[in-house]
Amino acid sequence: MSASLSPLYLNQFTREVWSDYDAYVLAQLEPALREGCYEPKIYKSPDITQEVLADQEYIAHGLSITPGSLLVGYIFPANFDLTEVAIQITDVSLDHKFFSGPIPWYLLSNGRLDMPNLLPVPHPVVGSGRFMVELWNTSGEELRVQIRFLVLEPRK
Amino acid sequence: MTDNIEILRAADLCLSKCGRPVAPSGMASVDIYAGLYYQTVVANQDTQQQPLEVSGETTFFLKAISAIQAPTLVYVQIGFPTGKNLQQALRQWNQGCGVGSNRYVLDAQDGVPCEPGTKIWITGDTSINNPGAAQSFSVLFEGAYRYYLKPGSSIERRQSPVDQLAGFPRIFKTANQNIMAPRWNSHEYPGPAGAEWYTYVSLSASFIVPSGGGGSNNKVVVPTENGYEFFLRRMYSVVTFAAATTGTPYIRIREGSGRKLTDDYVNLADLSGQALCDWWRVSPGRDIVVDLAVMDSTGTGAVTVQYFFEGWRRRQ
Repeated sequence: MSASLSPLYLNQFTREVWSDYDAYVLAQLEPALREGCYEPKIYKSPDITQEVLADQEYIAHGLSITPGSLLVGYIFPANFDLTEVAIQITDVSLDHKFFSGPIPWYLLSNGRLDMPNLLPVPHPVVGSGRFMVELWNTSGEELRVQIRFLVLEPRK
Repeated sequence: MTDNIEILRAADLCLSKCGRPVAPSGMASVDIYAGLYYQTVVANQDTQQQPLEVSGETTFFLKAISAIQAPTLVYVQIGFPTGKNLQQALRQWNQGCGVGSNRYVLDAQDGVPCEPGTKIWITGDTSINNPGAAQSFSVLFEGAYRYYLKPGSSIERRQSPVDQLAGFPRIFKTANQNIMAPRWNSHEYPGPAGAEWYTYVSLSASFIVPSGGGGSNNKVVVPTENGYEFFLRRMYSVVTFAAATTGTPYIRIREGSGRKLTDDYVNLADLSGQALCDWWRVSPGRDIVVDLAVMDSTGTGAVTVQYFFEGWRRRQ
């Protein structure tokens, strides 16, 4: 397998040109892909029983990702109606919050067809691999919420 | 982390011959993602400048800016702690903001260094355009906290992009004979030797939707072929609800061996068509199994689903 070629390069809008965000991030990922040590996996949050949030409801979900993985981004096609959910993600092992404060989850979406929202740097999953995902529904109505994490997991 | 890795502290720096503090040789670093969030409202016919303090225990390297645009027009200027500005003057904010692939990329390799306690200055202006109402906008300054590590046998040195590129396979005989040209420019995407582009398709399957809540384990098996290994790029689907029947389909994808692609049921509409960051290998003779659950369903009709799995297949 020509592992240095990420499937994301086949996106019809991805161009390896200066100032293209995806090309910059994919170039960082290529060494990991070339080694063939990882395979993709998709994690979701929150738990299926927690997904329906009443207006102004807050939930926290403990997400466990295999230690040794790389958190690459979010699978979240843009939906312009869903700007009024706030999210905070905490790496429990590192005691590290991803954002300085809860952010609109619209910022984790991507309007480019077929493309996930890639992190500027892949986040290493260390220690217990536990993350806390907090969600606030401020939309004024009941919503079903779900966020999906795109992960490179160590190949068994 | 192993016990051979220690975070470098200021006291670990040594002095060069010129008396400048420098890091010990063989030092490595690890970047931990973070986003600094800023949101504001600019009154109509007003100009404001506000600081966003860089928090954290080590230097933050600003690499990209995601943002939500204002309802109409606001002019924005961003000043970095380095003393430089994002642009030379106030600029229409809607030209410079986006999310996902349309983020604003800063210094792609290292980013703009922002030491703890320094400030990013954001100027918002509504006096130029006079939108007639207060304008709100949000900015997520994205990058990484860089932790420097002491030399140790377990540390893999940070490679420069040039060194990384040196290890890539060279592609000769491209259309323009230029090995430095982007791959899209030569129309040559090297697939695995002996492989062919292939899409495995499931039969169309119908399930009765429960009237209250979702069903589960509505299983569809997508058979692959003995003797072929398959590398999945993405899956997509066609979903049809019978008359007076609605719902939100969720799916869970696994290989016949039980190895999962998704750890739980995920929203099919959001997963359908999304490319993976790496190839998901399906061993020869293993089927792809898709479980369906229909959430928030109404009505008692059927939902009909068909799945498509696109990627390379190669005879072993």
